[in-house]
Amino acid sequence: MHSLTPSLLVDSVSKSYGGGPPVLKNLTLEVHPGELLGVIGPNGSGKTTLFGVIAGQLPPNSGRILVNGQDVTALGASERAKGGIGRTFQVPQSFSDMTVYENLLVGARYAGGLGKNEAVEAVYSILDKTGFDGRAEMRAGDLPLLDRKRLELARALATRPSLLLLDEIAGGLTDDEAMEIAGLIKEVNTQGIAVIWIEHLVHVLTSAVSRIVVLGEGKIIADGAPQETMATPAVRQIYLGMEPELDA
Amino acid sequence: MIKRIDNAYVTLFAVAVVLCLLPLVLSKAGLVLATEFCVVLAIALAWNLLAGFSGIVLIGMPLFIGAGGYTLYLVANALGIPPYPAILAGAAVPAVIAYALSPLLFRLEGAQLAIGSWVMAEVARLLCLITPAVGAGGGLNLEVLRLVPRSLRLPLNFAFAAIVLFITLSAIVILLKSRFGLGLRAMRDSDAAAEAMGVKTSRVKLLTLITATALSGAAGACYYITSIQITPSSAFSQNWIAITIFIVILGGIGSVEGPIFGAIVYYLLRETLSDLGPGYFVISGLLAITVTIFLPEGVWGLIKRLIRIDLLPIAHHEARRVHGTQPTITDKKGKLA
Repeated sequence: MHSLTPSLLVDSVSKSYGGGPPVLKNLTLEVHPGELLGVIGPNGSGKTTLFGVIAGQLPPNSGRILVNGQDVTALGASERAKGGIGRTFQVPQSFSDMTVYENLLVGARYAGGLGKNEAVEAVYSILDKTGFDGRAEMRAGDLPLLDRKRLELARALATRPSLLLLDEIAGGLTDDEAMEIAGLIKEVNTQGIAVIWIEHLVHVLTSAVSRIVVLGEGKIIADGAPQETMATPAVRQIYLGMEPELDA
Repeated sequence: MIKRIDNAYVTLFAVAVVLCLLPLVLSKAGLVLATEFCVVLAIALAWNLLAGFSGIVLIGMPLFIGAGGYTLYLVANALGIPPYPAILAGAAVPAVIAYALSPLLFRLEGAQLAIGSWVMAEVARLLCLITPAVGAGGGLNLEVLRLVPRSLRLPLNFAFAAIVLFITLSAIVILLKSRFGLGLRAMRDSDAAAEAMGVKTSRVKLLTLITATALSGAAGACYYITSIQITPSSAFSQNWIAITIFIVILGGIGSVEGPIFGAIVYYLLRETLSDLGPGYFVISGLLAITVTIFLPEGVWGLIKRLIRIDLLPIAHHEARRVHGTQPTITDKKGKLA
């Protein structure tokens, strides 16, 4: 049982686009400090919208977002980044005309709130940990896909997050590359950063996370330890498209 | 240990030296041309800051150039002072106008912003045409120029245009090399990612707009000192933006050096080919099309590729690592990442 203030509380959040049907329906989710949470669900289940709402890119229609006990619902994306929410994007959005080093420097100077010298040292440290040592002066737009994904993660770390949102960071990678990224994420998590990781590669996700939340039509349909959650009839039916196994 | 001097500051120093020497070597006609060159280049640099670095394609830039000119005339004539100190007002008023219009401007994007700002410049022109307080269609004369001895006008006109150019260039370089410039360049590549990195893009855009319009207003004010008269049709003329775009595209949009080289090529073309009449415009147009298609990085991009030089570098480079300092990444809770 968790007695600490949650790193994140998504409290009864609903979200719809324009006048359309709700993409998130009164959704409540709690993430605890140091937790590594996986989020899965079929396309259109609201996963990326959930990240948009948490990170401040999308305002919810109702409900609240609390980060480390503080209500951040009214804050924009940049303020939330400064408040400790780091995120990556499903399609890498590197600052392509800037170098790898500068990509990280933006996060360290702005969201990280570091002075020039501190930011430089922090960036060096992250470059080493994420495998960019020696390639810091490369133009981000010239990097191959795996490195652009890695840069997404490195750049999010430069913001000094207490909560990290990873949106399909292993998508488009080979199995080996995906496992490499997963290893990096586990390492980040063991150092105390709470992580929410949306991923379609379920086997990669289950190898790393301690808890999985399954979204379906804007609601949480299962939440728990990876193996148990994946075995629940609702998940098998809705997410995996399999008939539920009925109890004898 | 000798610290290497940044190329950008060497270049700025060289520009300052050249500007100081020009009055000593140029004829009167040459100084008139150099004054116009300074004004046009300052405007091109300011517009490039907006369009090339922050993605704000402000076709309505003549609104702020004209506002700078009109402000100088109104302030200097009303106070009965020589026009030069009023250049400051010529910078301030366009910045205030830009601030007031910013909620409307930033509701527009891309082509909408381009056309919307153009319409605003046209509205300003029409308003001046029907407003007697600003001389309506006949415009205003710079009465107070008589306070400046005739022999000093030309050198002073050049001196203030050169100061405005130097301030514009220095301000842009310093801005782009700073933390603000880092955020600005990030925003150019991805608004959403920049926000996720903590960059408040609306503030960055607003500060960029205010800076660029203030600098353009000051340049406009300098220009209209030399013309002695200002009218709505000249002040808010779309010729300003046509020349500016030509220079920026030709030189290389999104680089600080681009507009400088673009302006040099533009004036070389104009001074050597303008006797051809329509032929000059045909050649200029063909050149612009050719550069756009085959040389999207402009003349400066080509030079940079050939001789690998950065005259005004704005990038942040990985420096030598400081050994003995333990690098740490700690999160907001003080945890080691």
